[in-house]
Amino acid sequence: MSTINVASANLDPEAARFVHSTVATYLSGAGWNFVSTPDLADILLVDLDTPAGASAWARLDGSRRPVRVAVTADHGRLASALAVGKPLRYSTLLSTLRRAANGEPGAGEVAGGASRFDPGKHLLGVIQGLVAGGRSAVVDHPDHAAVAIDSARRRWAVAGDRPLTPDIFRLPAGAFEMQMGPLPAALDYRPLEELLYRAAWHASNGRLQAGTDLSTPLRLRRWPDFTRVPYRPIHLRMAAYLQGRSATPLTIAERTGAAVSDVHDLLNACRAAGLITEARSESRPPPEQPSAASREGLLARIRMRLLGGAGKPRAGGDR
Amino acid sequence: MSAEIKIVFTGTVGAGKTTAIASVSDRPPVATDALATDDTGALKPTTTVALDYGEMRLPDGDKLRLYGTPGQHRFRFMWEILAKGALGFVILVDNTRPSPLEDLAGYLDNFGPWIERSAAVVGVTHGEYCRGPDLEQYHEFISRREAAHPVMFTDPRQPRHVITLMDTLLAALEFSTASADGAPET
Repeated sequence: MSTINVASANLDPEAARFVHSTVATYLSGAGWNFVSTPDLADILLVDLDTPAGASAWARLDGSRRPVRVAVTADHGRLASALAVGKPLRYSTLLSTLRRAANGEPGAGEVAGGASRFDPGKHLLGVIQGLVAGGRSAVVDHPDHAAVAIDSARRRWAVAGDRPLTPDIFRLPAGAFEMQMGPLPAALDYRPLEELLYRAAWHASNGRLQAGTDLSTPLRLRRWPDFTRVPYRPIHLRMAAYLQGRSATPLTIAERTGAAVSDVHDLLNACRAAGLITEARSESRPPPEQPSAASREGLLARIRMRLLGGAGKPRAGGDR
Repeated sequence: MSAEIKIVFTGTVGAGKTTAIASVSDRPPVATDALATDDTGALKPTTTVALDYGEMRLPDGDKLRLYGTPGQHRFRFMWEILAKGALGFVILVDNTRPSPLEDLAGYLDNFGPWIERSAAVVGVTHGEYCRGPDLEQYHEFISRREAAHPVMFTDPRQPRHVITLMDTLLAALEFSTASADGAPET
């Protein structure tokens, strides 16, 4: 089938919305749709814990379409190949939906097309191209700051009088001109890692980077220098979670409470800055600590005091 | 009575501990400075001999106490007093000193038993363009010790830098696998 329609039956509204958003966020680019009519479904998620759901499940027994996926809190039923437990999680839901699609063309791909972040279409791609070729240049734009890229020494600087603003990172790559050759010496050069991080962070706009495999666990090689790059408080939580353990993007979202768009922004920025490595498997979650709850409350109070305007991008600024 | 809630700022002489606390404290910090009569005098006219103290008032009225340790090793008897019960540690390292990584090792060793029960973040001060190690070298050095403390360049005069360090410390504490018994009861 070229399009895969997913629907739910008898799920509570919150769970139904979760399925809808998961399909829309991660699968729509690969030809998956969430449909509200079960009759149109190729894959139907059914809440087996309700009498109506169990009845609907029984009615579909023996039919080839739609493929049934059980949603249940009864872990005994999870031995079934096509069942997901409650509460729903992105990672298990996605893997089960893919299994339900049974390897149909496109079923294993996620979030494609225009919804993906392609660094090559932005200033980030221009910088990465220079670095990959070991070339140095001043990257110029008629309305924005000129940026000197010193690939050999992995540093950058603003060249000229115009200040660097976030808008420059969202412009199409073709809008820039490059002046190759020796760079001005008397500039305030900074580590290139910082510019790469910013370029991805501002251009990413919550999108998954093209080529990202959601099933690959990632590990933070080291912390970004958050005193030099913009961040939101949730990014610190994600960085802390990824420090010393590996996880897929969906697990990061689940464990930290971050929106998937925030996960994408951090991972894209860290990937551009060379701070992310891939791991073979996910780390097992650490055991809960007895005093964790009381400490969480304390940390929340301190964080509230520190941040004041929490949620806004902080630090780093945009020089 | 609830235990005090405190974060300890430690690190080398002249790294900026006193300045960092002053940057974020709600009240003028209390300092126990004395004229520097040893080699420290070449770096600054006075130095902390007992502790620095600042505080931030939390939304529920509690105080987050910020203690700065004396940098010199001869005052290390104060370190244990200040470290006991600390929520976490901000270690400031002056990157212009001859061996900043060895300096860091000294503080990680001395505060090791308390850091193991809490968390630490490392702020590298006095510029990233001196001949000192870069962040990658700090990271490798810390990794060789089988630790994973966040490291960032920091200007202690900038409140937002100090707040970022403290905020990072909170995030590290949140996902720390430590038993958290170094944290105070609330």
